[in-house]
Amino acid sequence: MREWIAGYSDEISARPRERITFRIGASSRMRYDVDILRIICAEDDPRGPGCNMPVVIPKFAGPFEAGIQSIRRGSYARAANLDLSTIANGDFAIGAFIYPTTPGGRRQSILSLVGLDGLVVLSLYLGPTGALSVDWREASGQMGSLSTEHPAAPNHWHFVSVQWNSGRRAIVLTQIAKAGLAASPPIEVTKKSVGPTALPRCVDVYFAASGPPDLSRSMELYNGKIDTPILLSGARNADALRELMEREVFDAAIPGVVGLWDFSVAMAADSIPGVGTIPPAKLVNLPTRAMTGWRWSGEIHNWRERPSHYRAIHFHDDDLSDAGWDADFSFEIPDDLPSGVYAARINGEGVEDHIPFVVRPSVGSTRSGAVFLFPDASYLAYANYLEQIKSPEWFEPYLGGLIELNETDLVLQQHPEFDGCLYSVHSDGSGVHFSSRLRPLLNMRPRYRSSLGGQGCGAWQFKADSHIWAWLDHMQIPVDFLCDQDLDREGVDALAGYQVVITGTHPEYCSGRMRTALEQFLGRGGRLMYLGGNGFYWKVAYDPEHPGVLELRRGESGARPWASRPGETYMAFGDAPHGLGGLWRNSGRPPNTLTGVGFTAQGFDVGAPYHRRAESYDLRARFIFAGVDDELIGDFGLVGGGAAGLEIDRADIGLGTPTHALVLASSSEHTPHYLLTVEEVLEMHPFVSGDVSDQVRADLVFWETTVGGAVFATGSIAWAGALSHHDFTNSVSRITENTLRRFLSPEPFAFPPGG
Amino acid sequence: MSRYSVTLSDRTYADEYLAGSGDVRRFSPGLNRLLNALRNDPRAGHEVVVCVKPWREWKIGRLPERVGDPVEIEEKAYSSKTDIEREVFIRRWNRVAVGARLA
Repeated sequence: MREWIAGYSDEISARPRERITFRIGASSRMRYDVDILRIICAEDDPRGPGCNMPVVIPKFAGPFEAGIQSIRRGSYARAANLDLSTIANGDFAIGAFIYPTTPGGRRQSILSLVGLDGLVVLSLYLGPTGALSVDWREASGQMGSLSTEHPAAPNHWHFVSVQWNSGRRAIVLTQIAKAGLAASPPIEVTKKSVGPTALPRCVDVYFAASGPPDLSRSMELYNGKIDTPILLSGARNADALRELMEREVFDAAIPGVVGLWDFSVAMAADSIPGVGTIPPAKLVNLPTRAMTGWRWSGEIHNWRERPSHYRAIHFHDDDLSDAGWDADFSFEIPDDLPSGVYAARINGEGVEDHIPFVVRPSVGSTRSGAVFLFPDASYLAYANYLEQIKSPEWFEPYLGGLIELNETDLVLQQHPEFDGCLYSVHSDGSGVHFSSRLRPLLNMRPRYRSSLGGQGCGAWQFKADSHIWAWLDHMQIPVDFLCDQDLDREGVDALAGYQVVITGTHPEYCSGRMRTALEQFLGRGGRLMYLGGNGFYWKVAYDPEHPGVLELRRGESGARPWASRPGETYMAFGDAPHGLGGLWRNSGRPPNTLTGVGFTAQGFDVGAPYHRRAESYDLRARFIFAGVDDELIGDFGLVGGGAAGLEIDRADIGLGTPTHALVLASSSEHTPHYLLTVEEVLEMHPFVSGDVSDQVRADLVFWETTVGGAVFATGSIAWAGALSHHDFTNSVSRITENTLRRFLSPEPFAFPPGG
Repeated sequence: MSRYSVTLSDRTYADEYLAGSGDVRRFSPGLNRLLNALRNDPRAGHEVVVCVKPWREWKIGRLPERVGDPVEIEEKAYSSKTDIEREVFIRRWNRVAVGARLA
């Protein structure tokens, strides 16, 4: 095993006098101390300006000792202290609708009753063959067991129940598959001459797990959905049980019902109240909510419209919302620390880690007219990305070159507990809907070379964005920093006092509140410098109850590694108006209406230059090209050797680009590995690659708003990689500087006549 | 017309690759097709570049069948990633196009 030290913080953004707590783990016990660094440039490509990460607080903390901190993945729910006094040792029945996704191979618990002494008294589960089974503890202490011995079908709904009849001393197990229109004949097995159960008067109920975390035994985690779990007192047959479970509304206590949970209630919460006075089911590790239930018929796609169709929770044995490591040290932001990107450098024994965080200015003390929007949503989307190792058979052709791994990749691939981002699928093949920063994010680090970064420096997200920070520093243009999550939480007020918002290189993921805030900022005369490619593409949502976690649905269209299942495109997190997940384009707010351009193509080998167009000589654009004589812009750069590359955007009036927008320059010479995005290919045809399609291009765009503001868009991830070329003296740098300095001027932009 | 697979008739593109500089902008359509086919290799044993010393030294690695098992890393170190691309190209060609072995 490889040696490593790594950690995470509870906050990614803080203001002076606020405190950030750090949690550190390591591959083995080792001593470490901590420095606080400013991150100005995280790029170590020797062709570039070099890493620039000055220590601002040396030996801030330590020495400490780090050790192994475990991570328990897998979601489940627990309802504590369920009162069984009305059924203790009498007749009862348990039922649920289930949709197992990986039945067979091992035990998977659907529902377990655990006594307060920690002993499992009854467990309803799928056995190693996938058959519905039940184990119970009898009053004599003996364990009983019964199985239908018919494997449940993967990805099909089943009604399952167990009924206890003390008079007949019989236990009945029922399993009915509902496959499309036809329900299979019930499979019902009975065991007679069973002794009285050892049901206590009070139990904890576990859903999708056999009991509490216990390192000494398996939790028998379940993959799949559970809908409407119920416990009833009295002798009931399966039909009576189903009649209750199939009700549209559970609005009050129902006679005889001891336990009943409607999983469509409190959709974003971790605690789902039981029906009536039944204790709540508390969720652990964020199983997926707003999932279609057994009743879903295809008529409804928004869970808010008919919650009874969304009473299912999808549990996964590899869900993770919070690594839950012990806290090691904390850092209070000093009053005099300027806004910027910083990191706690963890200096272990022969290994180190950098845990980045953003320092915002004190309230009301913005020091600059410009603010950099630190795209933590997009960093989270790609957190610990490992698809290059999981699927090299398509990833290498996708790159057009060999996959390159580094030490971080090798650590990550040996630690699946760190794994899982919005590009991953769960162990059951369903898409990962949540990504959490409450775990070590090893690719959001200085110097991390990503396979996605193309030929050259391999910059992607964090490291690529530091090309912009380094350029701002070199140009001595002061800038404050703000996180996506701050903008989501505070709205346009977070941008008060700023004249210019500067984006990162790939701000692909955007929440509804972020998008609205940026539109309101422009509506007040603000200026937007969009220095990236494929920005504002996917809709995501934060939730105040789950700080540090992001939700995504990949619905209907878009370049995506997995697709949301039918009926599951509405997010559980977020506001109702922004509930529909998927592409912003499909919600009527394409990126073009914000930035002037929208995602058109991607490729991961080499970049290309832009060619100036006639519009670049328009008087409105004169300030942008002042001092730039080149016709070819950006035929250089650390990212793929060209300023137009990786993911690129084009202007398109039909998609919302303002009609008066100036398309200043466009790229053209892209390789066959650059491919048109799928939402542009309605009918299949062969003209989708960079060597034949005119739509495979990056457009450099400028436009003015009606209220004195303006927007500048590069439409390329690789643009920032060209800024430092020739010691920051080049056309890309000059164009960016000219634009930003004009944007920082209070002089309003004139809206063009007839524009 | 049958589905494309690498045959000895692709030797001309293999020669084009080995004679060139590795600049993808100059690859012929036939060479791109050959490279796509050779790269579409399953995970077990899939050759990758492993960076040993950033920006200075790389080795050839082979991915394990199961994610999580160690990546097998060869001894020989390279000072150029282009040399690794060529070496892996030759290995894959020799595995697929039996009878037209490249050295």
